[in-house]
Amino acid sequence: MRRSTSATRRLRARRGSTSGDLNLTSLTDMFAFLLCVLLKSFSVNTVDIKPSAGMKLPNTSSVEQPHRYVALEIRRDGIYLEKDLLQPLKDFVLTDAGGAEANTGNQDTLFVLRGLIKARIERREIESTGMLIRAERDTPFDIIWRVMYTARQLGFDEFNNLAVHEQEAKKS
Amino acid sequence: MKRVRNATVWKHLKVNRRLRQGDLNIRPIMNLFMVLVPFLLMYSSFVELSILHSAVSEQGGRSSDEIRPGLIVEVNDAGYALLSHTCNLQKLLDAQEKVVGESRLTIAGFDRQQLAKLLVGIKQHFPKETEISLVPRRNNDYQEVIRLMDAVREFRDGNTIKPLFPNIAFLQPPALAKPAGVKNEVKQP
Repeated sequence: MRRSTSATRRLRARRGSTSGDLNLTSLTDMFAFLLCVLLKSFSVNTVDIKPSAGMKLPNTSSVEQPHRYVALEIRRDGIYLEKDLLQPLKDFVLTDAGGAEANTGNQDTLFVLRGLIKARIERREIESTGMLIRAERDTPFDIIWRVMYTARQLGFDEFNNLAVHEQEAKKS
Repeated sequence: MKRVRNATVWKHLKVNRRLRQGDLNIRPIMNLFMVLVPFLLMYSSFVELSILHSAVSEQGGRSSDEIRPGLIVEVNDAGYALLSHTCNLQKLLDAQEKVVGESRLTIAGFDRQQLAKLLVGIKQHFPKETEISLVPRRNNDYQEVIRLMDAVREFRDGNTIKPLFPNIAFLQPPALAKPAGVKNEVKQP
């Protein structure tokens, strides 16, 4: 009788210590799942082409990866080169700050933008002849054309239009 | 009876001990996960970005002895217009004959599928040709332009993808009609 009581007590004590251990199995399962998801979306592309927050890029069926080019971003409030505002816009329309364009014969050249990019090329801050264009999906083609036309005058001969791959867009 | 019960208890205790000794030590794996997860989170991209090549082209084009299609897709109020200043596209599609000449095929209602089918027909006669010029309207959205670029770049028929004209160049679009006195207007009111 005594023996059985002490054995049961020991067993209970052991059970008690077991229940005090952290149960890591479920955490391991969760980590394994997370690891699979992250490995699937792991990007080996070293080019940083993340558009600004809130920017809605157009959709495309293209699957080609972007190259390392100088990135020009056309937002509702301005044209940015690598996060620096070069030419202000107001709802995709040129404001007075870029008003020099109006009275010239060549209506498609953005002179302010051309001057600022040219200065960067002269300072050797820009060396590629390709340009990555990030623009909102509702940007009028007029402003895109004028940006490309201006860049063409500065020797940019290849333009990469950034867009979201169609299948990804459908998911979201 | 009591003895039998005691024996069962001891047996359970032994099994429990054996299990505890045989458990995997998962702490090193957990440590590895703790390092891997933030690292992968940093380099993961949840939205796949792609690019479309384009260029700015001047009106005119190259002079060549052989007949080239020299295709231009123009967007106008009625729909798309497929132009060629060097090849008679109508004769090419109807009579399968390459004839020098000018032509203009109109596709009403911005039907990109119909445009792509016409381009497939032309591509069969010029398999090496990869160039095409686009003239969108100035007030077209960027998304519309990208859709047009997709339509002329490749043709998707179910799971098969036929390359069409991936070298896309933009030509100067016609100016928008501005109301008198308004300068620097980009978007048509």
